[in-house]
Amino acid sequence: MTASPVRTKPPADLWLRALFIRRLEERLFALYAEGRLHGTMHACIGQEFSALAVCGQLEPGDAVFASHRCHGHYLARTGDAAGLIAELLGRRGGVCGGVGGSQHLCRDGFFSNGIQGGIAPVCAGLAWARKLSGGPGIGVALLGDGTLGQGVVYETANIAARQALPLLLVVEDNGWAQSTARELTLAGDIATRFDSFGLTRFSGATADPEALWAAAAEAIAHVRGRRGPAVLFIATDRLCPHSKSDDCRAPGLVAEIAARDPLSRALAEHPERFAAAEAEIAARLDALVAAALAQEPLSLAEYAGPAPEPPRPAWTPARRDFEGTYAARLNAALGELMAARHEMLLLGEDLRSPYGGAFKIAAGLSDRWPERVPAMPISEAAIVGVAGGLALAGLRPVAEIMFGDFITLGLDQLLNHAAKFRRMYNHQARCPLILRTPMGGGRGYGPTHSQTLDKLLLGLDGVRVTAANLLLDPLELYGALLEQDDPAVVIEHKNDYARRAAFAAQPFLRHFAFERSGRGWPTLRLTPRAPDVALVTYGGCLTPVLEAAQELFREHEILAEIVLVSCLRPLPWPEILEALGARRVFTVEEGSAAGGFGSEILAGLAESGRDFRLLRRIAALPLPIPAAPALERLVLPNARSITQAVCEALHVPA
Amino acid sequence: MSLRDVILIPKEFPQDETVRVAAACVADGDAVAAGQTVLELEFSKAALELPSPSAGFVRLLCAEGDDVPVGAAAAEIHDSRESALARPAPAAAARPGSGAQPFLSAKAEELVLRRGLDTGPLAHLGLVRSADLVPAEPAPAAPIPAAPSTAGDGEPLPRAKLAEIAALAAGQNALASGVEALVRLPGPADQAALGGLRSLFTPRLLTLLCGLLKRFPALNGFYADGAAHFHPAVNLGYALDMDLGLRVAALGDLDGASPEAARDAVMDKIRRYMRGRLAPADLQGVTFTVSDLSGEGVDSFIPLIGADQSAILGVCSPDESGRARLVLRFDHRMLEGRAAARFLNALKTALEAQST
Repeated sequence: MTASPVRTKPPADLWLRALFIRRLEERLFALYAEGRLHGTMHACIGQEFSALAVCGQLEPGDAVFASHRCHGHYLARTGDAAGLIAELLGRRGGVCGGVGGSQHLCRDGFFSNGIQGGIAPVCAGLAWARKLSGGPGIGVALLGDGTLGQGVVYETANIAARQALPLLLVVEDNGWAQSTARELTLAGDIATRFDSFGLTRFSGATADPEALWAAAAEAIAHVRGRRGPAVLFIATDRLCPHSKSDDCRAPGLVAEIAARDPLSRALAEHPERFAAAEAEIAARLDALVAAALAQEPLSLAEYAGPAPEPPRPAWTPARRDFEGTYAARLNAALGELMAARHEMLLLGEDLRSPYGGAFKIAAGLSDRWPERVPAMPISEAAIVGVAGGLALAGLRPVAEIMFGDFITLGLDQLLNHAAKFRRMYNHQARCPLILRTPMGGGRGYGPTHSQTLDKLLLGLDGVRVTAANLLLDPLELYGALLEQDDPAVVIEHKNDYARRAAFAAQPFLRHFAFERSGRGWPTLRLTPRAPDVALVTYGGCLTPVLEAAQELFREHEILAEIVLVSCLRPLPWPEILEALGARRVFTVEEGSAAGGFGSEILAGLAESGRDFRLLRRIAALPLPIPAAPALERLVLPNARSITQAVCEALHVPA
Repeated sequence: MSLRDVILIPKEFPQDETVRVAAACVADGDAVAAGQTVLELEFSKAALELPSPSAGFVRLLCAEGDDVPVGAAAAEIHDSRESALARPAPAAAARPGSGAQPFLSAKAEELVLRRGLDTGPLAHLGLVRSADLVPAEPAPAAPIPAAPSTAGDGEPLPRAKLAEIAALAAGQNALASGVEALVRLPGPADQAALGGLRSLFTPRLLTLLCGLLKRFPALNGFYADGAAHFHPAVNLGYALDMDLGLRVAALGDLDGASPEAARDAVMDKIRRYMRGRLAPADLQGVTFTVSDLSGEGVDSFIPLIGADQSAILGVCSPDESGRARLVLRFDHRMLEGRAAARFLNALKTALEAQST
């Protein structure tokens, strides 16, 4: 590839552009004071040359991910003052329709988010996609010195260096994290932190805008030239508060900073150079503000978009038997999809040959597609974040979290990034990453490797949460997830991996109809003639629930129908309600009851208006899952305890 | 494209009937070398690695955590991956009960074993509970006791009783009326042994009833949905309740039969009842029932009409003067008191005429 020639000289209008950024932000403060600007904002007054040096000399194919103090970056990158002003005024003409506000902007490869360190791995994913495309594009993440307190930044630097990603981390070092001086919180020499990862370090200062421009040009050229990731430290000063009324710096210090600010000094020393521009800028801002204020905000209907069509139940016979263990089926399905879809990647720890992942789900896949199954460090947050960036760039990453217990480490990426992008950027972005993770106990792995934590995901808006089960073809599930546009989670049960779906020959189940609803993540209903009770469950609980159903009938003459839900969020209500024949309903889950699957199901049933006579949750005890086998068996639900719970609720001696 | 080797579970320790599969070291379709470990097995005293006897592609026949019988096939070695992964055609998603053997609850199985029932006729039920074996008609969905009220948990009724309740509740007792008549018994032997069938009084009663019911079709039918229904033939029921649950044995049409033959028919049912060998056919299609409590020392009682019937005849114990009360309980929607009275009087007259 050919790198653009390095332009070490800044454009002639650099100072006027800095003045425009400053006057625009001052106008925003004024609008806030007038009560016309709602909410908060973070101005970059004093740091304008940093924004211009980095974002003013990028190429159209580059990606920029900025954090909360992003107005200058946005203006330097896009020049879209009208969109920015309308956005902050909450108007429909805003760059994100007024949804994002000050710190959530999106346009033409520019993104910003209010979660600081979390933007780093997302930007690494954007950079990785550019590398895989073979083009010259790079990713630029804009961090502050305060951001260096967050660990995910270092996870990202490590991955970026290891994978030689075209990523430029920019640290705008203004010495203050909101109201706290850097010296009070950060240890050591922050500039050298990235050296140990092998990032090439560049530096500059807003005190010398021309030299800063040249340093940024060099750093960008280094990354674009595919010479490895780099970090650019920019010493700068913030003249304004962090937000609005949180400037706790000594007045003398603020005065000192203002006195050395190059733009302020130039304005004071050469007012005649700026006089014409000042008038022009003031007039332009008047017009932009007036235009923005003339706009209506978005309506709720426009923001929310059309309500998704509720699934219309259509039941068809379901397969009862599948060849092979679930692990083998899943491995084969992922292989088939990887072969068919070149935009698909597998990210995760220990996935590469010869290991193939802790549960061998990726066995052999890295041999066939070494570039698309990269070796990843133990960095769950960054793995999810990188997957989010890849997905934003149009690729289809499937990230494995080795144990479901570790999903908490990536939850910020799911909750505050991937799940938000589509709506907070007013439908200008899609982030269809897929996370798959095994949960479940029964193997003696103890408190932090046995949990069923789907309850942490069931309240996530904007994420599709699915649960794999033996009756659901993984090729169908993943095939459908790869066709949709939202982030998705697939919860697997580690005990299912060695299990086989072989139900056709089971004498008891031969008297059940096996039916399923529509494609992708169907609800399954297993129905006998005239059931007394319903067991509503998902995922790996299918096996103990089927055992319990047989015991309930055989020993207690209680006949149970089984409703097996594959999509936990959003729950397919029309299907669940139609699948339920019995009026005594039990939910079965392997997590503890509080705030979980059963709570959601029973709440929905209670709200349905149907006359249910008994609603009960069967779940784990609210205790850490013990490793000792006898104790573990008592804490987690199993066929025996499910049978007992049903008998107890029906007042039948167990 | 074929099977090369089958790996069997070896017998390492005499006491081990089954072996736990501790780990599957390969997945279906994996290439394995000769001597490469395929499975790790847990015997009672030791763990063992099970090697492949030859090079090829593996197809596992068991999974981690399975308990596999000693001697069973644990894996196959194929000469191609395609062969190892070849999938049989997917089984059709069968509808419930299609050609499948019925699956019995433990209680139902016990009943079947005890009574020597043939489960063939139960195939349409699929899943068979003990209650399904009791009534002549397919039982309604077995009721589950509802959550208790303030009266406490209550004592759960046996399934057989619940089925009986369901059958009786389906009977036409809501608008039932009754007529009674005293009938003179022919002699001391009848008086002493009326309920035990040692005399021929009851068998005579049964044969006479079958003839009379043809003249009174309203008593050999039932009311449903605003319409009177008439059974095309008589199938006389005889209620049996000897501490093994209430059953109504179907005797068929005894019109013209000798009293001895009628007695034999009843005795046959009683014997099978006592041995628990009443088949569904013994209980089905009753059109009119006789409830004989003459051996129980009661002057009078109120019998309950069964499902799809319009009347029932109760036979009470004889009094000191040698007369026994007959109680005809009937569905007033099918006939009126006068017609019922005519029927009962005709029966009385015939009985008394025969015994003289």
